[in-house]
Amino acid sequence: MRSLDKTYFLKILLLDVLLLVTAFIVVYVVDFHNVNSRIIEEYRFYRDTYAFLAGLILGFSGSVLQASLRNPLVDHYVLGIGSTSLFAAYLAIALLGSVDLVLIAVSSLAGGLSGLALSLSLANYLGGSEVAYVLAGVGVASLFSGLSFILSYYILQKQPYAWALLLGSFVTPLKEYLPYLVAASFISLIAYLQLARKLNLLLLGDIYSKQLGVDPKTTRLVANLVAGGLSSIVVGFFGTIGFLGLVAPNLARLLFKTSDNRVTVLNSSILSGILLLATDLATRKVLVTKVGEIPAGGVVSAFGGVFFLLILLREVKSIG
Amino acid sequence: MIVVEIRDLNVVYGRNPGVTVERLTLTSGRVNCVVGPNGAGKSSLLKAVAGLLTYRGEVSIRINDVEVEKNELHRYVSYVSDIQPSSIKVSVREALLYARYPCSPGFFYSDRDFKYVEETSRLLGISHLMEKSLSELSSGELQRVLIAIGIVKNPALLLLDEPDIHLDLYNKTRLIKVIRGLAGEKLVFLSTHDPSVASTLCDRLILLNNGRMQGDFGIEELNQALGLFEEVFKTRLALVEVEGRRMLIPVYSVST
Repeated sequence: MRSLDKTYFLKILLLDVLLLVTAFIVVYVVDFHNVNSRIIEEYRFYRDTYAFLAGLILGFSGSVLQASLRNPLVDHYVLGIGSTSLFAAYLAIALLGSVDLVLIAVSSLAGGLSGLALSLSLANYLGGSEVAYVLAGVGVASLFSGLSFILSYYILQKQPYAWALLLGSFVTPLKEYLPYLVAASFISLIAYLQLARKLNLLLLGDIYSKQLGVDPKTTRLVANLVAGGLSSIVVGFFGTIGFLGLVAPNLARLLFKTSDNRVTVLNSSILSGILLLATDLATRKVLVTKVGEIPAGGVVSAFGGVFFLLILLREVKSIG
Repeated sequence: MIVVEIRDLNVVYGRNPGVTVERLTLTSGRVNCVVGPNGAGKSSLLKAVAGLLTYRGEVSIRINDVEVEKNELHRYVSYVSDIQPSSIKVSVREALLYARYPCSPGFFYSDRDFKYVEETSRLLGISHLMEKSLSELSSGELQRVLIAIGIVKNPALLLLDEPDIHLDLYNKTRLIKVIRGLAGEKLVFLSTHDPSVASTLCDRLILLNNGRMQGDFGIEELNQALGLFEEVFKTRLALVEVEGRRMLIPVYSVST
């Protein structure tokens, strides 16, 4: 007989597979049915794949960051990883004058992790409350998105889509991105299997996690490095996609009524991937006929921002 | 039989002067406690035994004459203190399952994990709280849940840091029953700043003040210790006998 927990998990996995198959069918019907051009087919294949994988990685990062910092109000964007990694990528393009992929990946990784370190130390200096993380992150985020904005003018000739990336867009799905994103997704999967139960212990607090055999400092460091690093690379390629990583984990916790990160991280990743894919598809298919190509990141931020405010209100109310 | 042996222990923690214990041996089968005023170093002593603080000296834990290795402490020792519930809501059931980690560190919970969680919740009378989140509990409920988190991994050594704090009389009485019940097979070592709780609940009282041991008394030796307790707590105390048990109670008269 299969154990209780495995049966429960199998049900969740079945639900996820069902969701993914539905998404696949919808994408096929909308995007690939009756398309006669190889070039268009190829473009759409990469674009849809990237939107899904980028969403997956951001949903993963958001849920891991929230668990490790015990804070439902954070994601890569709120913590300033988004704007610092984009800034670093733009700076590298401006200084070295090339749009080499390795260069973008490395610079955004370095930028994003430094940004994370900066916001976390600021937040600790401000007393380490939940709202302190948001405030410190917002400060870092606005500073560097301002700087990125200025730089975007400068590099427009080398990176004609620099503006779209400020909000996050999949308008340039280069073939060469694929190995990076597949590798990043694979790392997410391994980190999920290794970290999920340890992150649960962090939710109980440092003293309890330590006496249950999980060193809180090391675990938090590893979790933040993996989540921060992977989201930085996504941002370097596709721009800051705000609030998605914040909404998805909260949505997963609401839907499955659990704080268990084995469930939350998995479903946050999948929900986030599907949400971003759906948004990109919708902006491309529907809005483009009315107003032209809108960056998917912009649409996601608009909806995500509302959700963020709702959670912020709930949290601040429960503190006060 | 579980034995804790402390030798030449010295803990320096923060700005406190630190705790020094030259020699102390604790055994299972009775309730041990360290009692002393605020800032005496009770928590530091407990945390050192749990391996949560760095210290000089030696703390050895033996279960039936087999010594517990330092990297195995998390399997056999629980330290229960106040918790700051995370704002990501964790239900009582989840917290108990999470705390089973040392016994089943794999990705999936085993059916044994669920069984232990059920048994522990029944033992502590928290079965009706299982779906509530930690942040919604009252102080009395939370204290019982924290002890459940501490014992769900079935430790040999249970350290309780001021378990009576924030509790009203009814909940204190319940707690005392629970702790007495646990002391049979586990070594229970708790801290309290209240001499009356210490004398009602514990069989052995270690008096700590300014980081130094001032005395080590069995409950039957309390009459010799009265003066020392009064001196350490700077309060007049009375030794009374209720239902065959000796207890220390403070005398809050106006004249003192």
